[in-house]
Amino acid sequence: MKRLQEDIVLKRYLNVICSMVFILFLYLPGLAMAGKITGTVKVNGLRSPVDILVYLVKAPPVQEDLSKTKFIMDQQNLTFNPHILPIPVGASVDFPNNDKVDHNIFSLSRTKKFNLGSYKPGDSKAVLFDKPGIVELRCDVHAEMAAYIMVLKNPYFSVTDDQGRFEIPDSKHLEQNGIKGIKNLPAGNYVLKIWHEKLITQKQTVTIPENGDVSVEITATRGTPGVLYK
Amino acid sequence: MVFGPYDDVVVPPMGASYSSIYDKGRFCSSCHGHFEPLEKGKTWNHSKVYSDSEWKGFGLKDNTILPVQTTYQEWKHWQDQLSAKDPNKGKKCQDCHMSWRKEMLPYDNHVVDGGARNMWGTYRSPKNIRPHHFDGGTKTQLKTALSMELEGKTNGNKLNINVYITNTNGGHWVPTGETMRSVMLVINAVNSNGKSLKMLKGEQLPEWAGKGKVDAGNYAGLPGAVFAKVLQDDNGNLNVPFWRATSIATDTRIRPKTTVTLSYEFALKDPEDEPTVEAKLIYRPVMRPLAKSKKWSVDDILITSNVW
Repeated sequence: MKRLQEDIVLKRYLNVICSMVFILFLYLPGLAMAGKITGTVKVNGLRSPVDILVYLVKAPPVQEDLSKTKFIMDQQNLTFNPHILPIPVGASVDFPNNDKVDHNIFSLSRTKKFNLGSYKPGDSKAVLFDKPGIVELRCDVHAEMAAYIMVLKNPYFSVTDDQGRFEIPDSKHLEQNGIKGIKNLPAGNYVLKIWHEKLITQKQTVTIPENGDVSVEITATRGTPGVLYK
Repeated sequence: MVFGPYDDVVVPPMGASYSSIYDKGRFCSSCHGHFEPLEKGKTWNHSKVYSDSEWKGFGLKDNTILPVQTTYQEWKHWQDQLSAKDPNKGKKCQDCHMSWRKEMLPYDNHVVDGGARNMWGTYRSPKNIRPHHFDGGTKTQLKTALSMELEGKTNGNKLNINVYITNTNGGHWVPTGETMRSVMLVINAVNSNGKSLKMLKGEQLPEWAGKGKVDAGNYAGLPGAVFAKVLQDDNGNLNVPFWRATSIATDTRIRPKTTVTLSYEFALKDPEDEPTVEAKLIYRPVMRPLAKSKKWSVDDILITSNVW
């Protein structure tokens, strides 16, 4: 009899625990992170909507140590790849030379001034970016080589694909470069901006609901770009 | 005999011979420098235009000679000032003006191989090949020669703008060579309704930036600045040809790897307004008055532009 009573109590206890776990399972994601911003950028005056930076002006910054990040700006066939590389402030970038000729990468941008000197195919050098802003990359001996490292205040950014599509946060891109755990944005209002060297800078307010993603469509026109942060 | 920069070329019919000068900046000096002696007894005051170090870099003994074109000397002066550890030390004319261009790829198209190599060709790695395009004042070179950044702040009824212009890729002053060349900074500050803001402090573009409609490339009087070497005659006429020049009025060209900072202040009627500032950096191959008098049609090249 006593054994039976103990079993009933144990079952009740387990039921309560399971119910609580189930409720937490339903409730916690909503509490921690609300959703993503997905969308498309359409362009007037450019051949392709690729390589447009889409970012949030204000959002929670990265809390973890970024010293182990592995962002890469490659050099091949007299071209920097990617053309635009957004990174969170505090991250490092490797500059491998995978070309057949020597390159000399440098920046005289006020955000980060450096000169890596001339180095051979197969070699690589790294730079830490510790201040937000635009870094214009050049090669001292190949005038047409140019690319941009966009040092951003938070990890909520994305670069459009050849269809103009983007997703913020771009968790896959962040994880590939060593930043894990950034899945969704908390609910709230955000100012979303775009930047491309040949497009007029656009901004719009986006609201992330308590749960679920939000989709936006932006139309940009060829013209002079603005600064990252005013 | 034919001379070149490699010491391992054997081509008997052409008498291939080695000369080290082909791989040095000095090789370019015979053409990229132009000095005009003034009339007998005349001198000019260079100290108002150039620092002692810059003047020394021209290699002139006294001020009876006008340094009209000094591209080689500008490069040499820059190089001489660099420490041995500076990554730019040793950069020479050939590195930028005889380097690979994307339209020349793939590299293999230019590597001496096959039949020619079997006869007397020597394999060259792409990094040892000097393409002979000699790009100078082309769009590609100009668009990467200078860069510009803007910084702004509103403070009550004032808007303050700083413009930073950097000679990023030029190993000489920019613009260089012919004195009819100029680079102009043109600034347009507007309120949120698109109405121009009145400039309170800052430089304006000179008359020779062109008088008339702005849309037609006339920028005289607008907020901005000009970067050029301005030759002057005895009557104070500016931008005269070198054979009439007796002095240099100003030389504001941008020195290698240096940044020029220009500050402007505009009046803001509504302190809560969100103004916009657009800055353009424009290369003009021939100054407007000269182009007009010669009836030359020469297009400007937009180097870069930026919005704050």
